[in-house]
Amino acid sequence: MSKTFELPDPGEGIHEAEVVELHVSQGDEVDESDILLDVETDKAVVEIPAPFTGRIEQVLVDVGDDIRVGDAVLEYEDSETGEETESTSAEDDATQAADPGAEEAAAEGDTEPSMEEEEAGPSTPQEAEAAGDEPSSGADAEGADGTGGRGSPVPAAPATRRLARELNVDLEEVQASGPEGRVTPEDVRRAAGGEGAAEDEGPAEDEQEEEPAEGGGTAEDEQAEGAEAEAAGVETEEAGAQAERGEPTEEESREAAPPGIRQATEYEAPETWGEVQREPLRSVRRTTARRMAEAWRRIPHVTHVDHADITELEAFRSEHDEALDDADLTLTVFLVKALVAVLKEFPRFNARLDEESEEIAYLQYHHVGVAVDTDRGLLVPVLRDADAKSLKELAVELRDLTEAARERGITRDQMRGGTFTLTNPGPLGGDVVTPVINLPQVAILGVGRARKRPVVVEDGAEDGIEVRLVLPLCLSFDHRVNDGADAARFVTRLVEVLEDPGAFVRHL
Amino acid sequence: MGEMSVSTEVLVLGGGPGGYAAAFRAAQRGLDTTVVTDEADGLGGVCLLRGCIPSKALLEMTGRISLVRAASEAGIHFSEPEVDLGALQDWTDDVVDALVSGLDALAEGRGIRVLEGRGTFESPSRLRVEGAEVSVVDFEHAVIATGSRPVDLPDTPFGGPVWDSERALEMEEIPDTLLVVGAGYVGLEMGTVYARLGSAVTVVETMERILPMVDVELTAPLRSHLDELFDDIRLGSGVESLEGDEDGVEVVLDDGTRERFDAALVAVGRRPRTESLGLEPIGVELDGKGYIPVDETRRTGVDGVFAVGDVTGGKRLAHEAMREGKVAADVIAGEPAAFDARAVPAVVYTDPQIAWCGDLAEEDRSDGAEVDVARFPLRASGRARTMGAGAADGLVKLVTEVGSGRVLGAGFTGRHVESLVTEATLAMEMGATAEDLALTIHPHPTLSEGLGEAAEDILGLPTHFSSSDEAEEDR
Repeated sequence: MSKTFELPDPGEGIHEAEVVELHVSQGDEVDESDILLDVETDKAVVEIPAPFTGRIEQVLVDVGDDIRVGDAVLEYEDSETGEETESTSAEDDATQAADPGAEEAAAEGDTEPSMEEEEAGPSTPQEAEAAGDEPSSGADAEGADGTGGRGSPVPAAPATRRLARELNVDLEEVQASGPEGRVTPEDVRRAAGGEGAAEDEGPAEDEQEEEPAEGGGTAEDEQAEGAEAEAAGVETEEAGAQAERGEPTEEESREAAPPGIRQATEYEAPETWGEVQREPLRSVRRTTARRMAEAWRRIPHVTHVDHADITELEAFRSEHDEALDDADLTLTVFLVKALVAVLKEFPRFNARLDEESEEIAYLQYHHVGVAVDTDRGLLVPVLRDADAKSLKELAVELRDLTEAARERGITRDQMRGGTFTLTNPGPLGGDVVTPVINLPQVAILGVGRARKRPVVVEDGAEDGIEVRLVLPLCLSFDHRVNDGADAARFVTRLVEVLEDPGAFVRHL
Repeated sequence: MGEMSVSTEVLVLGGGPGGYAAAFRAAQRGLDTTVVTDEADGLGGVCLLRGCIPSKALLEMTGRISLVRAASEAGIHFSEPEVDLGALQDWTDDVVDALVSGLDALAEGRGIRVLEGRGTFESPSRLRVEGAEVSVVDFEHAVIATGSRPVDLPDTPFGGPVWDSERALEMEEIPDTLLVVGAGYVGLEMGTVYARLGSAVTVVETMERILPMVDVELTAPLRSHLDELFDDIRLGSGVESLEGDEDGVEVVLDDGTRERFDAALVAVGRRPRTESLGLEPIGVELDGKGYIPVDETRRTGVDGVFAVGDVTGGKRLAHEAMREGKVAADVIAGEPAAFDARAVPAVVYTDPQIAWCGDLAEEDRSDGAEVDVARFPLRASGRARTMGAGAADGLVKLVTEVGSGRVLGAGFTGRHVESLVTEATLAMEMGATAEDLALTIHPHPTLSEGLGEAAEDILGLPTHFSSSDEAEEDR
């Protein structure tokens, strides 16, 4: 029986390749995993192995041909008819393993027929009437198992099926260890490791393992590694348990090896040590958790701390506080005003790092986010175009935004688009804070509590000590974008502005 | 604040079970979520406002009438009940209202924006809203969950004495004679309510059996109960014409018989609400029947646009829509979710109830499996016997794969079987076998023993009855 071999996806999203060498010709007998041809993509030369054992009937391509994934390369006859189905499935494996997208496409292909089958019940509303408002129970089973009626689905619990999706494992490919062929979570994790699968599923998989040695690591290889690492991270305890059981097969010994220092440790449940009350992470808390972890993971943070003498600023502030009828001229308002002035002098702090294009994007607008503590958690409303607004305008807008945030009237838009964030927990106390940068921004200013302190002042030639009001300023910055020297200059300049209330008058 | 537009990460169009489940899950996943519903009565959709919940309230309460009558078999005699229709309606409304405000509170607590208005897509990232203070919603992801509406008969629009299921739930009057067109679950449930309240109910059905899509063995005990409850059940009869006038309806059946009724309930199915949503301009395609095709992650063909519930076809049941909604929200949140349910249970709330999951066919199965079938008659159930009022007229049917014993389907007919089907559904999801069920201790005396007994029968070791073969002969 003659079969067609099509070009499998060589990985890395390559769809086209040039045939650079043919290793087989008509009449050749090949064994599974023999190299059939070499193709060159714009990344590398890739050897394409045979996923079958058989005789080449016809080679359909020539050296120099540009061929696409899925194009027919050659026709062959399976020599081992007894294993015909097996080698066919090996071919499928090769294609699927090679193309992360293929699995998705296959899944979609599955879903469509099942949709059709569900629809294939009553074909008019009147027939639907007869059908009693429901599709047939036959359609039910087919639609439900998601296999388009190709047979019974692989037995596995819902949580196991979710794990399989997470680890990109096809349940059909997993060797089941549970009773009556039930797939367990451990089976899925083992399959995700790649090794377990290779053991039983033919050389096609082995080839895929070997390929990257030359190709320099294909996408699917990285993906497989990622999945493995993920699985390992999740199940350190699991691995430990297996090690204890002592089943030193080749595959498992790798899994059971002591966790490397890169792997996260899993701790015992807190209930182990006493009573625990649990509260689900919801809404703002959850978002904050996600964003902070992401920022901390992605940004190399450095915090630079200095102090500003705001004795005169405070005098100026309390003098003019009354001038605004309905809004408070708070220190935060002055800080925003001072910040935008300094940000204009140091535009690399009002920027984004475009990791994709490897560019620094200098933002030509100054939208300052101000962290607000609410009963829902931390919200950061944004003062848009803060540089174009007067102290009074900023005071009124900040009051409105803060109230909206605390009374849940704030919209998502009012919290987006910030270019720099100010967080001022000072009134609650604290000296040095090391705030986490609010992605995708590149810096954040944290402010400690203004305290009266003994300050050494120069009085002519003599040093004296005076009681001054001192404000700690803590700038966390993304060290990929700015250096310590930049931060020092930035904060020094900010101190200068804050220590010179006249500067504000000039901006009023 | 009088704002005209809002931006949101997840827009959910429709506030029914599919829509609110999607919105709740999206909010729980930390996504900014907005629901747009054209329901003035709040969240809940047809199911809560004019479907599952009010109909179950009426079935439950009117069911007491038949139970009370049946108590005389055990020597307890009641006088005929008096029915205060207004009070019954008020109580049903209270049940619905309490649940609606519960949903509203949950939505608020989860920070979900709910806009009442009619939404039309303007682009794959913008919805125009009419009738709300917000007129534009810009979104990153959309979940279409607009549900379905009842289908009317050709040339016979709903109105006057021609009722759809929603009108039938209003309980304004009890017609002396009621024609029910369609012996699906809606027709039989509402027919049951009106029959218990005194209507002479006639059911007309084009197919040769009631509940045509339910396993025939499960419907048999119901059929004999309904023969007593209803005036007439005419199977294999199509409606030639149905016309409403001031005094009621005149129906002509396809065998030429002409008859009058005080009212007619037309329950011939539902069609998806996919028209006038602006779907085609944004590239969401519909199939021939107006359903939105989706993949198992609930994605339509358009990036960022998902669909769940009745608009996508399927079994068109609330719990299926809820799962689909959660899947869509999880997928949007980046979770590895997919609608991969192995079994979607279904319940018909007649007396006796029918509940099932999976495929109950003995031959010509869609999965091609060879199966063993066990049947446990509720006559052998101590608990069913103690309930009286015909509760022992039912059965448990269990279908397992030959060899592995894997559960592939289960069906139940009897009282309260709504709560029995869940065990079988879990068994199917977990890939459990007949042996697993047989070795699970079922409390005695309960109806749940029926499934354990059926599983034992698969293993050839039934306790409270002889064998499925014998049960078959009995029937």
